[in-house]
Amino acid sequence: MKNDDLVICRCEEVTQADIKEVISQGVTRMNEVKRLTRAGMGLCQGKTCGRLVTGILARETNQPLQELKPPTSRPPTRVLPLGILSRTTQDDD
Amino acid sequence: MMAKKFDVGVIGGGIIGCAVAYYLSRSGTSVVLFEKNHICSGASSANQGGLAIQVFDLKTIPLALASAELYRGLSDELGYDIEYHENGSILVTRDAYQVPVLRRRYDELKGMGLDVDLWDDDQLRRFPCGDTEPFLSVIESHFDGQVNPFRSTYGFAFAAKRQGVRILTNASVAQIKTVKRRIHSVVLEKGEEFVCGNVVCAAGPWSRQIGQMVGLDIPVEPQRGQIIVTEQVADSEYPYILDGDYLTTAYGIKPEGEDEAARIRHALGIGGSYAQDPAGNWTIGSSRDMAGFVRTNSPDVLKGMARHLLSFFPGMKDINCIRFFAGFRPYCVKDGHPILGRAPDLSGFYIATGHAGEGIALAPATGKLIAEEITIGKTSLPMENFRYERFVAPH
Repeated sequence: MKNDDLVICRCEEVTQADIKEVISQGVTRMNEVKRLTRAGMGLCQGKTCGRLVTGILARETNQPLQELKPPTSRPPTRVLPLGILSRTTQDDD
Repeated sequence: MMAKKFDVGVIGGGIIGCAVAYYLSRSGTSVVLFEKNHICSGASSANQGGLAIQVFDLKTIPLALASAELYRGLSDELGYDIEYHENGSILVTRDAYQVPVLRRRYDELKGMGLDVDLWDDDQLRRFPCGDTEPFLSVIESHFDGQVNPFRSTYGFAFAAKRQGVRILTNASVAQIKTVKRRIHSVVLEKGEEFVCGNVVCAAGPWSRQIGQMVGLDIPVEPQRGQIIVTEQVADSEYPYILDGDYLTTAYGIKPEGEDEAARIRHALGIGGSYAQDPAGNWTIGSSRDMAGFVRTNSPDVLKGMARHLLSFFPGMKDINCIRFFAGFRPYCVKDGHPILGRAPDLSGFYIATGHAGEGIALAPATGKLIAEEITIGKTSLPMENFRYERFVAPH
């Protein structure tokens, strides 16, 4: 992936250049890359871009891929409308 | 191995520790910062990034206004966009018993010369509430703001580093050595020792453990808060909305009526705080409970917060939640207020914690004042209300 204009996180429109820029500022963890670029913070919560971002971070910081902890994964596993969340037990329906 | 020498050791790499390190480094002080995890990994990473100054305790407002003033110039000063926006906020209520409370708050804020409005009937009617009744009262603050908490914390950290601060992550403090009630050095779990005559405890909810290392009881416990993040939606004219429960809680006024929903809300510590960030995501808070260091979400609180939001804005029912998270406010169990400044009877030990839900809002002023106290021995704002001495000799 030589092209820095390449969009890595489609939900948040984060390019490879954006990710490389925060890495050049000295961050070394997936959680930090996520928080400073917003890559993985969108509708799919990093399901699409997670592996790509990990690859870029491993390459740019010379860390072994398997040693990079994934960013904290948070519920819900699928998007959930507020109206449904507000009625999540049976006795309310 | 020779111990390394610094003027000041800062414990904690959240926004408070990074701000303290940054303002210290501006005065040429040599600083080392110890963070047990990574920068912005505790309370600073789990909040709404709000400066809801209009609901702050009156004694804290001058500190918050000083912070807002610093935030205004901070993106330029740090050379890093911290996304500070002074969009204001509205405090709304549909509970009759809260109407006089809002009126009282409005009078107090006006009395301090602040830029606030109490909406008239016409303004209340014009606000789009969907199918629900108009609000009974609204205070609009024009000076409240929002800031990106990650970018602010890293902005301080990056600038501090450029100015020579040594930032150590994965660096848990094991021991603080004292000699004749003076701070001597900090020893890490890894065994490394740093000689520094001054130590700042900016460890947020973990401050009590740090205080214990020097025989000082810092009465701070983790107060859990939970937040729902929604998908991005169109920009709202009012990106920061708070409900009257905030004020009634602050004034210690019990909710009135036998409303089941209100009782549940009260039991779960839910008070509405809704903030839309520049990307368009809403963060939906807030909740308060003491659950130790259990950083998980509880379904009853998430449901209660969603319900409370929809009682105000039913039109948001189809907006998707994409993320839930929880975090710990550093909560002073004695009075809920920050603990700032030098410790009594322990030369060189400074406290900067207990900001509860106001750490992001108060960070720049806290950093500046603590740096002033360490370097010149006096501060540009009075700190008497926040000193540790208030627990020792109440005034």
